[in-house]
Amino acid sequence: MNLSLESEVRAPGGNPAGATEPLVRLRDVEKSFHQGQGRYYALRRVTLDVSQGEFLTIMGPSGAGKSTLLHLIGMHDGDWSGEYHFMEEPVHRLDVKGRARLRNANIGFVFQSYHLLDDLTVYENLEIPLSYRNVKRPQRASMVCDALDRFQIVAKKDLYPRQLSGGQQQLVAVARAVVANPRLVLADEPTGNLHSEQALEIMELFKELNAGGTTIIQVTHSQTNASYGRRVVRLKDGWLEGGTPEA
Amino acid sequence: MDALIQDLRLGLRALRRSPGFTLVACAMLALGIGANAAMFSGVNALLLRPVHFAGLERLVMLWERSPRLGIERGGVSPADFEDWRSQCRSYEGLAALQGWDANLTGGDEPERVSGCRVSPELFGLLRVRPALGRGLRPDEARSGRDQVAVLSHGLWRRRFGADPRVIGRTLVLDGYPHLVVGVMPADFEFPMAAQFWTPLAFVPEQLGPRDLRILTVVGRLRAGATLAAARAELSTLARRLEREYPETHTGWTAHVTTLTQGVVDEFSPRFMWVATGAVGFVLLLVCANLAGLLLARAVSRRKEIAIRTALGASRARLVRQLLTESLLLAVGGASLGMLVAAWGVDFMKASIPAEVTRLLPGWRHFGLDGAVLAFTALAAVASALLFGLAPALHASQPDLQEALKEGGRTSRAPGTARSRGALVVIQVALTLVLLVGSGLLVSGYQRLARQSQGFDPRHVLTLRLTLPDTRYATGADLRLYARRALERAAALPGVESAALGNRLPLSGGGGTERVTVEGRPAARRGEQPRVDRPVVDPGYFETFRIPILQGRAFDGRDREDAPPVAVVSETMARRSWPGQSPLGRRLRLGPAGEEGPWVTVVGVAADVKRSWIDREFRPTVYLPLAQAPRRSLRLAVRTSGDPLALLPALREQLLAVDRDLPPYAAATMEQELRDQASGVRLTAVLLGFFGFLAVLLAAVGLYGVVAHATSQRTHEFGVRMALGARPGDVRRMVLAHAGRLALAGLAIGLPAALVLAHLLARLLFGVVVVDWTAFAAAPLLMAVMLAASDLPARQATRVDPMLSLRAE
Repeated sequence: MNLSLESEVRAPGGNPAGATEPLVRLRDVEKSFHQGQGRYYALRRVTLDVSQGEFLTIMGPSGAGKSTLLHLIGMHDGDWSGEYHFMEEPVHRLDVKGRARLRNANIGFVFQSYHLLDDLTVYENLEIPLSYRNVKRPQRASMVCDALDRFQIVAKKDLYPRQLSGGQQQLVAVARAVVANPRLVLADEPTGNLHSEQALEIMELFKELNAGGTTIIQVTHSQTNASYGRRVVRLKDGWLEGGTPEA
Repeated sequence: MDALIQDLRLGLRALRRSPGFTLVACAMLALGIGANAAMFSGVNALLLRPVHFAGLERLVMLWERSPRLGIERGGVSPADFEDWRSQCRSYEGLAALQGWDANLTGGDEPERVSGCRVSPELFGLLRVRPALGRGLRPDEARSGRDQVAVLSHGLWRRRFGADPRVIGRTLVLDGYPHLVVGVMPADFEFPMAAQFWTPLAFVPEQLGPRDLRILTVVGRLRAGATLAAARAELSTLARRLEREYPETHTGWTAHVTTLTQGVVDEFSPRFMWVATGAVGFVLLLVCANLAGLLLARAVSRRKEIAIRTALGASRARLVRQLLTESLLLAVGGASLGMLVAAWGVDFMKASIPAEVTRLLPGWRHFGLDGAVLAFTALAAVASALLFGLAPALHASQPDLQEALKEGGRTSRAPGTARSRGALVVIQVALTLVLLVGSGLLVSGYQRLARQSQGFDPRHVLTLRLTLPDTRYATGADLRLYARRALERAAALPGVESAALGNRLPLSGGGGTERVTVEGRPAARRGEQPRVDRPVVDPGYFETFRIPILQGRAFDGRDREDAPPVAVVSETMARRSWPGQSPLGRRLRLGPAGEEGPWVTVVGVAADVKRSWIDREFRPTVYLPLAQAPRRSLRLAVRTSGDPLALLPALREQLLAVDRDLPPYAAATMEQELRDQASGVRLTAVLLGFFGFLAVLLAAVGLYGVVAHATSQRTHEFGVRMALGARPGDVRRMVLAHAGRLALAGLAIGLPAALVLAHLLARLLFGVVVVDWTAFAAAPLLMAVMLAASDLPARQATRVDPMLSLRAE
């Protein structure tokens, strides 16, 4: 599949030319929950930099805190401590609205179970994130058509998710994640529910997106999927291994 | 706008995907909103806008009132009216009205028509112009020049075939010819049921007595004058009149109401407001029920909402989307509700007899109109907010990680369960309040319907006769007519007995008379006890089967020239001569200083209700018709068969006595009883229905909550049963949960119901009595609630431990 990202040209892989600040910068980030008399730490003193254009893989056993970290980076969660800068903006100081603004402008999500909205057609599933970003209708139509075209799913635009195969659904989910041209795509086990051939297709897609300048952070158990990324960090019991920025 | 259209489109699609939920929600809303729309239609037509005149906000009515005598809206004497008219500065003008029901003759068939003598200024003050001819001229309000008449549109069509050349023709009213000068427009009904208007000309005798309170007074406030200023001015004037005429004005004052308030009677609005409150409760219950359903739906939509949030939807946008769905439901419900409202209006209209409605201002406008449509739209929006906002706010804050987690037990939502539980508690409390209220009214109605009126209303036909002074100038004329009419009526086959009187049992109204009892200390004028004083003929007690307890009824001895006699009621006898026989005792009727002759008591009759709604019997002094002849008469005949079948023959016989004297207002006593009870009966039926609806809604609500909670606890029940719990234990657990919710609702509802019961008893004095049996609704409601919970409780006992544990 050939994806051309004409709307925003970024340097393929690594930092864009001249960029000095990482896209994501976490410092001593901790996330904990009340559990009985004490606290359970899902993330412990996580420090991590992710550069623009990077393709990062987060791995680790179940319950290690991978998805928690992904949602934290995706700004779905505001209840944590430490420092988090996204494009130099201090996320830890932003309120819910500020985080939503930053997230909507820059981040797209891909989930293991696709999480397409059952009531909406493929077209509408792609349109909805744009609608939530208050993109005007004509521009929305143009962006959705562009995405349908790029992902070669024009013929399926009027179908509902239940009428698609798992691989097709995930394809739509990826298209939906990038339709608003995010800088960062977060993928949580994106191929977990797909058979190997479909999984391969999706990973190729991510590779092409990354080549087009989109930063990708994926959570996976699969070594094969991890091999598509440039860097792997591991989480165990909330602690990050190999995530410390290089000096 | 674009986003709104998108929300509407998606909302419609979401509702279409859950047809069962959508149908149930729309049906509940249709009932709730429809019932409110129907009630509003009545309130709007009969209470809020009973009259439609230009500049209505400046039109007022002026009354004399006596708080001591319990008279809130008393008539005004001509002398007072003239003083008010000449001295008040707040008004552009004042006009007086005096009802005049006359015998209309001169055509093929004599008939009785309702009309009104009015100040010629009336039409101008109301800003109404005749459709044909002219109105009344000020110079015609003088004796001798007042024989002109303006016709109502209805009378013009009926009596004159809508002939445009009617102007200049003659209308014979009570034997007096009147020149027709105009015809009013079709929609002019003031006062209600009036068919003609003639000038009100006071004769000197009317301008003398200050307590001849016979007029209704209407005014239009001058530009710039306020109602408060007008009230203050009239109060000042009333105080001055009280000082100048203490004999007639002590304890009397005056007040001003808007015309809208003035034309509505004092009692029936209370029933309407009670019924309106009840439908409001029903709508609240519907909203609580729907809020519960939406909360349950929110649980199954948590993932969808989480996805939307993850895709960038703000909370406001999600709330808007969810509220749009609620609004669509409400619009659907309101649309169906209009059908319910149409049916409700038809039902209410059919429940009130025409005899009653023809006198109800605004009845003609009682129906579904633009105002009802606007109210329905408003009710729909308010309902949508009421049942949709809390669930929307609740649903729009999903725990993203938990909701989007793969294979997590995402359906657990303790917050939702608590909220739904709270909603059920509210529903049970509201239902109990409504049940107690409706129970009190229904039992009040039944008590009134069951209680003895003191006479036998079966097989009695009544009608009215009014003898004009043109042809019945003297007492002898009146007596002669009465004797002939009675003879002819009594001679009809099928008539068991016949009677004449100026009032009948239950005929209500009629003034009271002051009484002085011989041998008791004389009271000051205005402080004498008051009694009812019907004038009846010898056949009266027999015809109505009113037992004579002591002495005798009237008979042939009580002639015009015989010593004046009276029959008193049991209550009168007990109050005036406690522990003694009243026979042979004497009394005088009339205000101190103007008493009539001494009257000797010859008999004691059993008590009879003057009005259906009376809680107590009033002291009554009956006088014989022969000694106190009357122009306005009610004829009653007791028949062996269907009384109405006798009407044509009776009418014929009466016209044979005087072909220019039409009998009118024929009705059976049972019909009269039904008519009088119609308003209370309708309210009782409505409240009974609303109470039933409330129980149904509360039961459905609790069933939903318990069923949902049970489905959420399948795993827990599986574990418990795997550990040895028996089905009975599980069932008890579920029922205990439901019982706690219902009990909490009853605990809140009981004190509220008690407060309401006392409020109702005060508001509907005479109908509602605080009665502890109405509170039997509480255990009854508890039983219904437990029964509603038993189905999900039984389902919970059928959980297969292995299946439920494996599913987890």
